[in-house]
Amino acid sequence: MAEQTAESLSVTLSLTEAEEGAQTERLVYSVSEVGTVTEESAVEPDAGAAPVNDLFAGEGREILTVVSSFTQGELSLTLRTEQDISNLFRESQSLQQNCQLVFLAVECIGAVFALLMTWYLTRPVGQLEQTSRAFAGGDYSSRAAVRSDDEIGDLARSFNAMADSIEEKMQQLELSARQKEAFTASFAHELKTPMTSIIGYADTLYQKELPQEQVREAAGYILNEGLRLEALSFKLMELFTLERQEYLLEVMEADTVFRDVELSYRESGVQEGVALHFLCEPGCIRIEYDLFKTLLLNLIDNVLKSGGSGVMVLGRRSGGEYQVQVTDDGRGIPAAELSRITEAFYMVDKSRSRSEHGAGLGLALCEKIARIHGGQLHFYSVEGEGTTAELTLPVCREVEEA
Amino acid sequence: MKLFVRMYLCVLLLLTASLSFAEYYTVSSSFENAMSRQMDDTLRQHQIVKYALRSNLLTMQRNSAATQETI
Repeated sequence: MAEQTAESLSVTLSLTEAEEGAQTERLVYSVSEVGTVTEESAVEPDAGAAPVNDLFAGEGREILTVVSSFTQGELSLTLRTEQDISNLFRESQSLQQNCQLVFLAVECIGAVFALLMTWYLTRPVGQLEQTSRAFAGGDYSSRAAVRSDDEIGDLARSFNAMADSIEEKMQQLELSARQKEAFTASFAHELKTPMTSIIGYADTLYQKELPQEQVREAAGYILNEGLRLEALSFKLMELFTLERQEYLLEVMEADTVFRDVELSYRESGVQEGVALHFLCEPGCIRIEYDLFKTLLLNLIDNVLKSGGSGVMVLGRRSGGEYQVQVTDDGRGIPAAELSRITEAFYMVDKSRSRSEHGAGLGLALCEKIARIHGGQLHFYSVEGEGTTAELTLPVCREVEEA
Repeated sequence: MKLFVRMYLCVLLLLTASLSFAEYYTVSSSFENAMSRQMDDTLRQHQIVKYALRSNLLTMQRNSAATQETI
């Protein structure tokens, strides 16, 4: 832009004269390459001795003016030079237009890049949204792809963890619903069998005149089935109460409880032909006395019905745990049924269990009681050789150390 | 409005703002530089004309005085 400075220079020289107190200026010399400077327009009334720069525009031209006043002898002169700088403005406008074009092109390319970048950044969020929609639609196996270690990656990981948890809970709920259904069906069935007998015998007694002996027999059946129903209702109540009640556990010596259970059996009289052995190591356990006794009695009752010749009840310490093993040498349980024996109303041999007034609730109760005590109940069995019920409870070390 | 659209508009806005600022800065700084050089040149030319004029006037006054003395 500096190249244009040498062109279109105009010079005006005017003489300042004082007449009756007022100053007037008379044009002395004027040369204009641009040809726009006139006598009237070129004169600056208050131009001082120092050079004055002024920029003004006129008739589409941009003019840079320098005015200076000086005295030469008796003459007082004003010199004014003007430079046409319209080219400077034209160049500036041209530069501005070029810049606009370049920047528009850059903006277009940038917009495409921005589109790609935004798509790249928001793609994982979109995928996560699709996954969550599929999950909400019932596809519990759908998981978000974790592709980065940034916040979106963390979000996908959290989502997957949440999905795992929900899937597990859903499975638990489904299992629970199935168990409840099975429980209701079993309960109805267990209720129906004695009721049928009771109604049948009661109907016979009502409709027919029977000899005294047959009347007693029918009444005996009704009583028996009634007692079965009563036992069933008691056990059911116990089962439901266990779930709702809160128990206060107290620290006790394991051998004390074992001794009490052994005494209970000795007093009530063990089944004929069954040898019952108790062997117990000392150890402190945290239990609810009555519940724990019920658990042991139920376990022993179960093995007594196994048809074996002997039952061994063994209590021993194993690391930080106290193990109670109740072993028999009876019929054993088929491996396929072993996992179901703690389900309510489940009976391995239904006809035999019913004949022994069993309702299939004993082991379900045992498992619940074991859980209340923070323990676990496992069963090991070999068909034809016998079964072992193993109860594991935590030992109270702090009490033992004290 | 979708996150994609919002992000895209934000990036575009930022790009446009920065390009506009760059354009303004480039054009104005270039114009100011050129203007400043032009003013220096004009002032220098004014000084040259002024000194030339004063020199000529001085010569004319001396010549006039010499002529009067001769007369």
